[in-house]
Parts: sequence; structure tokens; C-alpha cells
Amino acid sequence: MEDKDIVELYWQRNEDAIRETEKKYGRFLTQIAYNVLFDVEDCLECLNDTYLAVWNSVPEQRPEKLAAYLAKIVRRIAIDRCRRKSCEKRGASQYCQSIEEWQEILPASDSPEQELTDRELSAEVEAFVRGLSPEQQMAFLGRYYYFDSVKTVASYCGISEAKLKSQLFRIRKKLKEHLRKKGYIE
Amino acid sequence: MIERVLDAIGTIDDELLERVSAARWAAENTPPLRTKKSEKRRLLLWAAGACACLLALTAVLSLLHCRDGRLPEDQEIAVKDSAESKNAAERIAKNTEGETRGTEPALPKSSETTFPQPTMPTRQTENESESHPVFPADPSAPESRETEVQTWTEVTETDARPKESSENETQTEPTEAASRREAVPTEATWKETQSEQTDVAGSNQAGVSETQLDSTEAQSQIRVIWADPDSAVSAGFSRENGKLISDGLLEKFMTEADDCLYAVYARPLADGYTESIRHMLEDIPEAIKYEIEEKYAVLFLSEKDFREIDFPGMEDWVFGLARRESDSERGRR
Repeated sequence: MEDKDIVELYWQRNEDAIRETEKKYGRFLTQIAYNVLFDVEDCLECLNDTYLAVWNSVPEQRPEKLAAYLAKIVRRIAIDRCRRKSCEKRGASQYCQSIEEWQEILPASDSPEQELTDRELSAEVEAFVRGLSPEQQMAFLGRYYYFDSVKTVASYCGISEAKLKSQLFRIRKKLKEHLRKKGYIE
Repeated sequence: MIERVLDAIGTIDDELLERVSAARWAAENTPPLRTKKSEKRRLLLWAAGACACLLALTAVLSLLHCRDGRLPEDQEIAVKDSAESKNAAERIAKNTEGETRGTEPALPKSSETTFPQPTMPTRQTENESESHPVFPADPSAPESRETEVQTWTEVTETDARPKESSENETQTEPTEAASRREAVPTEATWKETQSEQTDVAGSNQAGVSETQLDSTEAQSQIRVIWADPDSAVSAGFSRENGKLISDGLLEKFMTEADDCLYAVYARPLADGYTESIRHMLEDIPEAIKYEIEEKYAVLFLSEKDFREIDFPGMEDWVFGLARRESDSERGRR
């Protein structure tokens, strides 16, 4: 079923919309949730929360890109769930691993001066990502948006894992420099 | 700050995510993409495997080739050349024979004779008189006008006895080299009969020149020990037509080559006779004297040379053997 038809079902408040969403994007969403939570049971709960969130939000919005819209929701819910878990439990997930990678670049603690609005920071990050080459965008978003493993990102980027790691390291340093110039970090 | 950055990444516009989503989507539904490195490794493995298979196939084919009994290319060419040369020689011999048969006496057929196969003269005997056939009465005695003539005639079993046997003279068994030569003449039989010299060299009675007479007398001292009938006749060598060897070579045989007791007639192997013979003679020891005529070569061999000579291809191209008799031998007869 086409995305437009699925969205239309949501607008019609037809419960088949959820079944069709699960049928078409269930695996895709499960992978994102699993990358963050690293637990099957948490993934299932995360997916249920995602379908509910979409059910509640779509009548207000009409997403043109349903996949990206669903991915954004499941990612946010998974991250929120992950944050609620103890640090010991989340140690093995890709999300926690990505946080460890960021610790090399960004300070772990926030100062009051660094507290800026999420909207402003998001705009800067989006501007930074748009300045990357298409290959760098795919590597960066694959790793830090979908939290895919290095091996997975390397596979669909068509490069070796070592090259991807090197590429990601340079992007992180570049982002740090970008945020420093903008005054988000010292 | 880290979590805020990650949250900020999560708010990236859907347009930017679309391409990554498509790539992820394709990755989930297709086999993993191959990196350039892995692709290179894969190609190298394929190339190595193909080379190994090719080598193995070549080895197997070579093995099968050898097992079929085929020779390497160079040897094959050599054998082919040899065979062609032999065939050419045979054709020439037959053609010549066809031309000469009209004037030459008919050759005996092996089925019509009981004499043993002609062999090379015996060797390695303590007594020379025993090591070689005893020849008939001295044909050089002009007063007797009798000589022992070796003819290729049809004989009956009762007639077919070599003179040597009747005179209780022995012939030793052929040596190994001689045995090899035995393979050459297959149907040659011979008989020695006493006949009047005038029957053979009637021209003497008709009044020949001095030179011709000397040549005939000298020729009478030559005794054909063995000859391949076809080749010998085709080459014009026989006692019946009084032509064992050309006058020039006969003179050399009788005079210059004092120590030469034997003459070996070499068969040409192919067209371009002289060159073929020269090529063959390259394998003959330098000490051995030889002469080349138009279509054949004559080797002059001493007793020692004759016993020792054994050059490559000898059995293929030697078709006749003559012996010069000494005065004592003739006198003894």
C-alpha cells in the first residue's frame, strides 16, 4: 500500500492504518528501536508506543514522507525509554555506544551558559548536516540518527568499516568546531 | 550536551533522512553491498582459481598427450622427416628398380630359396680366415677365366648351398652391430656359383680397352658380401652387370685405401641425395674414409673400423657391403 493510502486511513481513523503501517514499516521501525534499546521486549513496547503516537498525531498532520516521520517518532520514544533505564542496562546498546563516541568531542556536563533552546541547536545541527557531502550525510545520519551499527552503515554506504570510522571521527570533530564557532560549546 | 545534540540530530528534516532511509531499505532487502576492497579480493581469488584450473588442465592434457605415445613437437618433426625421407628413398628405389629391371636379372624370391639370410661378414674371430667367408676361387686368374659370381637368381633347394659350406669354412655368428644390420635385408638371398667369367664380362672377349680390363680385374677382387636386393640393384650394384662400384671409387678402394677391406654402400634417404648423405656422415668417425657419389656414399672401412663402426641410423641406410680380397685369400682359393 502506498504511503498516501496509509495516511488516508489514519485520517479516516481506520484501524487498518496501524496494521498496514506495521506490515510495511514494522521491520524498519523495529531495527531503529532495537539499535537504541538493545532489548526485544523494550522494542515491542516502543513500537506500540510509536503506533499510538502516530495514531494520535496524524489527524493533525499529513506527513509527506511517512517513513521519515515514523522513524523520527520511534527514535524519540526509544531514546526516552532508553534514558529511563539505568546506565548499567543501556551500556551495550548502539545508542550508548554513540554517546561514548560523543564524549571524546563534547563535554559530558552542561553549564547554564550552554543551555540553549533545542530548536536553535537543532537548526544549527541541521545546517551542519546539510553542509556535508551526500556520502557524509548518509554515514552521519545512518550512525547517529538511525543508530545503525558501523558494520551496517559501512555495508549500505559501500565502504569499509575502518574508512567509515575515520569518516565519522572527522565529521564529529567538524561538528564540534561548528558548534564552537556558534558558541554552543566552549 | 551530548543528549541534546543527539536530540537535535533527531529533528533533522525528513528530506535529509529520505535518502538514508532508501539506502537502509535497500540494504535490508538486498544482499550486503561489496566494498571495493572485498571486490578486489574476490576478483583476485577468481583469477587465482582460474589460473590454477588452467594449469591443472594443461598438466592433464600433457599427461594424456604423453600417454597417447605422441612425442614432443621437435621429435615428432624429426620422426616425420625421417619417415618422409624413407618413403621418398623407397619410392626412388622402386622407380629406379622399375627402370633397371628390364636389363637386370630377375631377383630371387625368398620363398624359393633355402639359403640363410645374408648377413654382414663375421667379426671378432681369432683367425681372419675363419672370421670371414671364404671366397671362391680366385677370379683374378685370367687363365682360368673362372670366377665366383654372386648372382641373384632363382635357385632350387638342392642348388641352394653356399660355397663356404661346401668347403667346410666357417662363418662366425654376427655381432650385435651386425645383428642390427640383419634387420635391413629381409628378402635378400644369395648364392655363389661358379661360372665362367666370360658369361659375366663378355666384353673382355670382345676386346676391351686396357683400362676396362684392369677395372674388371680389380673388380673381380671385390666380393659382395651382402646387399639389399632392391636397393643394390636399383643403384646399379651387382656382380652380374659387372658394376660393383664406380671406376674412381674402385681405384680408391684398391689402391689408396690400402687398409680398407670393406666398403659400405650408403643408401640415400631423401631427395637431395648428397646433402642427405653428408648429413648422415656427420655422425661417422672422422677416421673413416668415405666417398660420395651422385646418389650414394661408399665408406671404406678397415677391419677394425668395420668391427667397431656403429653410427646412428646405420641400419636404415646401409644397403650393401663388399670386401676386398687379399692376394693370399685369392691364392688360397
